[in-house]
Amino acid sequence: MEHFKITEEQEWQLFELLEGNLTPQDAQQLQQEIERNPALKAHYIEFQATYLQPSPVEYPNANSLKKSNKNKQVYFYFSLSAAAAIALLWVSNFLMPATKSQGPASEQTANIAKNSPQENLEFTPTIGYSIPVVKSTSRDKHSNQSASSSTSQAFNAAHSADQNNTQQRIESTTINNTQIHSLIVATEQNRSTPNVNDTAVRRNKIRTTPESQLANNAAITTPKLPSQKNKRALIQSFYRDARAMVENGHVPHIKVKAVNKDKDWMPEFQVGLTLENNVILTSFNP
Amino acid sequence: MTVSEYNKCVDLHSSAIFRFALKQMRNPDDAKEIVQISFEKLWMKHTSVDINTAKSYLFTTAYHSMVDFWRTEKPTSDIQHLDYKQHPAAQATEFTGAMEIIEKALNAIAPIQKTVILLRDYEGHSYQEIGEITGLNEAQVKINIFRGRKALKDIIGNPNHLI
Repeated sequence: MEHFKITEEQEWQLFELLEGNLTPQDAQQLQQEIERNPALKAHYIEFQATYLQPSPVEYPNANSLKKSNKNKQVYFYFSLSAAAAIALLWVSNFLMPATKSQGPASEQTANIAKNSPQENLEFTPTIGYSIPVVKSTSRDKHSNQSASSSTSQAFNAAHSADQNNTQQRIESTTINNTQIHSLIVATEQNRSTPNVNDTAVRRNKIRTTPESQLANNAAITTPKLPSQKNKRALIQSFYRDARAMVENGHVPHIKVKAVNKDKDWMPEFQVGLTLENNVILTSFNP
Repeated sequence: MTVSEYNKCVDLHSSAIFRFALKQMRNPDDAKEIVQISFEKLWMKHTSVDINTAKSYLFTTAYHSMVDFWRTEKPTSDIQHLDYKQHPAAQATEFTGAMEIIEKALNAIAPIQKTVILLRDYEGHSYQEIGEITGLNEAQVKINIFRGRKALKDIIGNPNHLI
């Protein structure tokens, strides 16, 4: 090839021709020159040989590189259903009537509530207490001893009713010039865990005696509680409230409060969600 | 890029990337690793990479992975060369005569020249695309292709250069 030497300029021209970078006129002119010049033709053929032909190579593990979107869907539905379950549990915690899952004491309370009077009853406005208390309309002149005796009667009544499976009729109790609702007195005996409802009743060490139980059964009158809404009515009520709040431009108010600060007991928290007319209360113990 | 588009990219470009890597690395296992790294990186960015630019992205990633590999590479042993020869895919690319000389000549020229020639001839990339993959401008790409072909031509004209 020594005798077929060409200049670098000519090599560049051949390269441009093979790369297809020349205009048709220039390409035709160079082709004619190649035909006339054997040295140029020899180099042109060698340049042509440097162009590689793609070889048929197959990547063996192509399928292992592919991705599937199945997992994404599974995770999506799993997380969706988990979120729905949590939301349902949370809502049911608010809406579930208290009498359904609190044992015999609650059943007893429910029975009493059926015949309770609606007058003179109010629910305390603070979130920390949900104990119905009957306001005392007249100054009670009873001493502590008489209060204890009266409370014993109420306990007797509750105990007797539990044993005989009969309808309860319990009267309100007066302690320290405050009338304690019979529900509290009646359920106090069945409650083993101390909590915020431990008020004057427990502090005054109320105990029942069989004699006073029999003597006072007949005189018991049961106050009536306001009739409880069923689940559907509650949901409708909450919905109306929430809608009214949104229409009025209000924001539901959520309040968390520690209600039991006694050192001996586990602190208990109450969460209140205040809507337009309803206050949803729940409590939890960490 | 959706999952189906990504899978389509696997079908379309996995073999091309493998061939490109195999020619450069001369070791099927290393070439497979380069392919896996390239597609793994594509998958990690599949939401931001368009299917039209996926091929360029894959070759760019493969090239950079190979450069990283060469920087940390230990001296090549004869065993690796034997592995390359024994692989069916490599055997399919083995030629006799002039093509075998070209294959050997390819390994004798500068790596960047080899890369641009492979991208140009095997994949039909334009100068601009090759520039994006290798980080060169168009003029540099063109001059590297020219020098590479000239080197190959010289080897073909005098195979004694390989010895």
